[in-house]
Amino acid sequence: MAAKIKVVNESDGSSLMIELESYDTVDDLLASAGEFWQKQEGMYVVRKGTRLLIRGQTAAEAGLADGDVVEIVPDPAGG
Amino acid sequence: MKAREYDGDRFDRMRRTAWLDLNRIHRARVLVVGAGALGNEAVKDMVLAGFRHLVVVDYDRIVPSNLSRCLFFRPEDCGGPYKAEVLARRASELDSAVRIAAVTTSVQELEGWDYDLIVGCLDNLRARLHVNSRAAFYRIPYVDGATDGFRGKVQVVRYPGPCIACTMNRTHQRELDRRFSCTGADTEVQFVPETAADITTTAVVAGAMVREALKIVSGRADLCQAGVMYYDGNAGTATVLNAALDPQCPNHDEMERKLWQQRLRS
Repeated sequence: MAAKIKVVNESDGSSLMIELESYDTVDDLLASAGEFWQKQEGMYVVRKGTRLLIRGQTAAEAGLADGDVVEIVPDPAGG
Repeated sequence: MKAREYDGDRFDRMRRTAWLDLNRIHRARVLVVGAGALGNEAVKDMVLAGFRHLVVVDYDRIVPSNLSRCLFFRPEDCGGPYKAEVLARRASELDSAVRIAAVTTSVQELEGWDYDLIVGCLDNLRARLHVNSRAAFYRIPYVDGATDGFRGKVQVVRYPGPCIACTMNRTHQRELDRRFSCTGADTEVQFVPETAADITTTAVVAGAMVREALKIVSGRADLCQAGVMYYDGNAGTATVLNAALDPQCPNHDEMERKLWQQRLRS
């Protein structure tokens, strides 16, 4: 069963709604969000509350359910 | 006893934190990877905090744009000796008991990974993954820091816990694919785009890294941050996010995954 998730872009506070099937992964979510926000570069992580989500986790494994909010957070790499 | 005699002890104020183990800090052998902005700040903090045996590896030379963030570099150093050499020499001036060796090769060429701790001050993902894999292989605790403008992060890698690779996803893979292109037989060109950077974020991140290093070396890893710290200097916030073992990560075996699950349950 599909779950409607709110995805927040932590950089600017904007958001979008994404419908995820239980088998869709965190990487799938990132691909869709990247397309929506035209993010062709840069690195990001996905957080749900205080939890970092793993790339291969499915929506079901990550416990994502209707109405959940996840945030896409820039992941620094410079030094 | 003279009044304020304690002020004659360089580490008096540190001794007042009960769990800090100065003997272990003095003895610890630490590899610092990267002698740029984070490397300068981290080494400064480590030397002042009592670390005495450091190896700094970096094969870059100093350029003027380093001077806004690197305490130990001077204008006359530009184009001269390697960053690691200058950092080692000037940081040693802070405490005559300190021994800092400079290695001026890439970290991929480094051999003899015999350290108590690795402090990662790198500016690119590929080198970070190399250090991560070495830390995993030799089971050396690894404190990694990174910055981008007013954002920063600190990750403490302690096995059997999650490592740098566990927190990666398709956006990291995309950057790895973009930044390396084959230009011919056995030739690989690294392209690292310059990112925004400032000394305040560097100082916050390096400070947090050395704070975690002090806990590990003092035998109080139980006090370490329980995840990855993300710092947002624009908002003035720092958040620790819980990372988990990626079942697909090659740096962990089945036994470690079980140990990690046990630790989570306890």
